[in-house]
Amino acid sequence: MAHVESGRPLLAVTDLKKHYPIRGSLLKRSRGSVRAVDGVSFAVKAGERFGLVGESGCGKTTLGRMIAGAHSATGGRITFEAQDGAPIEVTQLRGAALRRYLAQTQMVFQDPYSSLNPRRTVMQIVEEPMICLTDWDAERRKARVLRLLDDVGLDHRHAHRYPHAFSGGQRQRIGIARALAVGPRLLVCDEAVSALDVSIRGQIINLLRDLSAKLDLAIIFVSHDLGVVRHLCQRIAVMYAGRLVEIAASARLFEAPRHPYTEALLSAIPSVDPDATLRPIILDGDVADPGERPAGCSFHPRCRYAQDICRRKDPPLRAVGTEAHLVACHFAEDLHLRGNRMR
Amino acid sequence: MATPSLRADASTLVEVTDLHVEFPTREGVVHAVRGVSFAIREGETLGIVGESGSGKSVSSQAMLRILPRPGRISRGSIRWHQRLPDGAVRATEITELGDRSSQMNALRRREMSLIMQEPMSALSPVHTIGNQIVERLRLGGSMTRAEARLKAIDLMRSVGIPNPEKRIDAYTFELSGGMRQRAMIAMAIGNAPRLLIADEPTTAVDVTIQAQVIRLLQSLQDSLRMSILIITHDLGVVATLAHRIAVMYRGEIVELGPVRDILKDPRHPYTQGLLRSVASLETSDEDSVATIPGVVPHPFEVVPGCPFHPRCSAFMPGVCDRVAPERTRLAPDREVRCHIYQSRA
Ligand SMILES: Nc1ncnc2c1ncn2[C@@H]1O[C@H](COP(=O)(O)OP(=O)(O)OP(=O)(O)O)[C@@H](O)[C@H]1O
Ligand SMILES: Nc1ncnc2c1ncn2[C@@H]1O[C@H](COP(=O)(O)OP(=O)(O)OP(=O)(O)O)[C@@H](O)[C@H]1O
Ligand SMILES: [Mg+2]
Ligand SMILES: [Mg+2]
Repeated sequence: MAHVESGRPLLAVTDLKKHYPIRGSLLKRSRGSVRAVDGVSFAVKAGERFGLVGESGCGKTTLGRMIAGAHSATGGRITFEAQDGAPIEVTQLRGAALRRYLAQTQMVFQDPYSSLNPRRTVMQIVEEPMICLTDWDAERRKARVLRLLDDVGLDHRHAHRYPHAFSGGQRQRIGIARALAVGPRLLVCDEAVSALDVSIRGQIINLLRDLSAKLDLAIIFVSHDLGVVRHLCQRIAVMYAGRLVEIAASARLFEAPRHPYTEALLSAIPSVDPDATLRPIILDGDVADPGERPAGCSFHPRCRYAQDICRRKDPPLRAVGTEAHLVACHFAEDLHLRGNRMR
Repeated sequence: MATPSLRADASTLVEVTDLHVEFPTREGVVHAVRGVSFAIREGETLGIVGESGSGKSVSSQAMLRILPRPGRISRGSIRWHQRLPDGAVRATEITELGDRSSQMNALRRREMSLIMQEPMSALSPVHTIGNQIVERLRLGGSMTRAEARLKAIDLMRSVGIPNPEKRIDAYTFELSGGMRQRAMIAMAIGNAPRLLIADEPTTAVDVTIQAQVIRLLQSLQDSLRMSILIITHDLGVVATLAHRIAVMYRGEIVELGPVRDILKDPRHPYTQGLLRSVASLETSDEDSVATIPGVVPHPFEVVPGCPFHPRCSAFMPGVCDRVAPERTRLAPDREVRCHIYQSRA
């Protein structure tokens, strides 16, 4: 397992929040808010591959978009280390400074079909961010497109084709080439492989791993495919109802999870082995709603280990066992939770 | 997990024979589906897996006669068997109906429904999610608006959307990717169809909600004898839900059979490669993931012989690159399209 050298973080997120107002359905007055991201803190180092998993609707896309500068934050800080080592406060950037930051942080989306403009050739699609975010001349841009196509394993012959007839995997490569065009140091991938078959998924993971090593590129990888996340990422954060509930090294998280939600998640990975014996832990009760957070721990209504304190007191994210394993559960030391080695 | 079992008395609901679909485009013709044949029985779940771009979605769109332009069925038959109240069975040839004929509309309203791969292109951005589910429910029959609204809230809860009483008035942009997908599922199961076509129904949801959706589909199947055609890249989902699997590569079904047999003992070199990728994703943490070597040819390229031969580890020169393999029956319920087995048969 590769370990990232301890050093200064490339990206530090501190108590980040995004609240969406809830529209009143009759009176158009706001009725409180959906706390999609509600006090998230973590740091990612240069070249590190960081996984983000969690319940559907828990705020992963919102968090990723704030980091990539596509959404404003309601509160908290995002600090990025500029090339010269000076910290940039992303949440306060405007205009030219924001554009310089956007060149450093790029996003790859889930849907390889609708995220590429059908009226532009592959060449034009990959070149576009260079036109918007750099002052490079046409010759330099074209040469770079061809290099990028090599990097992501696409044939030059395809540069002047339109995206409609490409396969999903090829389109996802085009999306990655476009994201790499302006030389970012951080890539946010939101479900970037979930539309692809397993063999192509493997190719893209291998590609991202190589690129991250070669270019010292940090990756925040959001996915529901836990096997893929374990394979690609050195550390994984588990999110539930707008908060991080556990952060640990990948192998450790899978083998010895310490948060009951993580345990349930790992238990529900369906196996291809028709004789597999691991039974999913069924989470009773309603799926978490960031619009109506219960008192105490957000997970307590569905937690099979919940005690009185869980209904009253919100557990902070704290180190348990080692500095590198963070858990938000009152009973993190006491519970013996089931991991999933997968095979 | 035990492989799901199927009732012995099941009879065929729909039978697809030698289906071909083409897209004539300015740059050339894409032959997206090339002679696909399969049947789905009542109460059965058939899983379709395979390469990205191999024609899985297009095959299901042909069954519903909702092919995107300029796609057209160029050959083949799709036979729908409808059980009438008196017990008799009426067969309808779907390829002979007009896309928008009243018969086809009735089939789509009452007999088959679809969970689309891309919820955003199926849902309207200008109507609330609740109104869209209510409209769909009212298409099916005689519900009043108020009844349909209550039913919609129930459906939304059953697919795991939190606080459905409130979310029913939300617009799609206010929902997360997985919530949109669950809204689509609610819409598709609302009218208790005979056949549910689920195209990647759970890619946007986490595994605990996925398990909930799978249990819901299984219980609907048990209570209504609904048939399911599920298209997915997740072989774990197929292993849990499907009775049989069809494996597609470049417009053809290369292997078809009971789910357990194929997962335990894949025969086609493409299926073997796919399962090796899955196994390598599930096991090692250190090494790169095992993938099938070579690249998928561009859809306009014509590949002579077996479409998989340029990437196949069992490639036999002079055979595989010249002659297209025929379907070979390995067991009563199992077939494969590969020269290795053809020469032995
Ligand atoms: N524009 C918006 N207005 C109001 N609420 C929103 C908006 N966008 C997202 N939300 C809400 O914020 C919460 C988090 O959504 P987000 O898309 O970040 O979740 P996610 O973790 O990416 O989920 P998924 O895994 O399903 O993609 C959800 O409850 C969603 O309904
Ligand atoms: N509108 C279109 N015009 C031209 N070609 C098309 C069109 N729609 C689909 N195709 C072609 O049909 C082929 C099959 O596409 P289909 O969407 O069925 O693949 P799939 O097996 O569902 O893949 P995935 O797993 O990525 O969803 C593809 O090669 C694609 O290029
Ligand atoms: Mg999302
Ligand atoms: Mg598809």
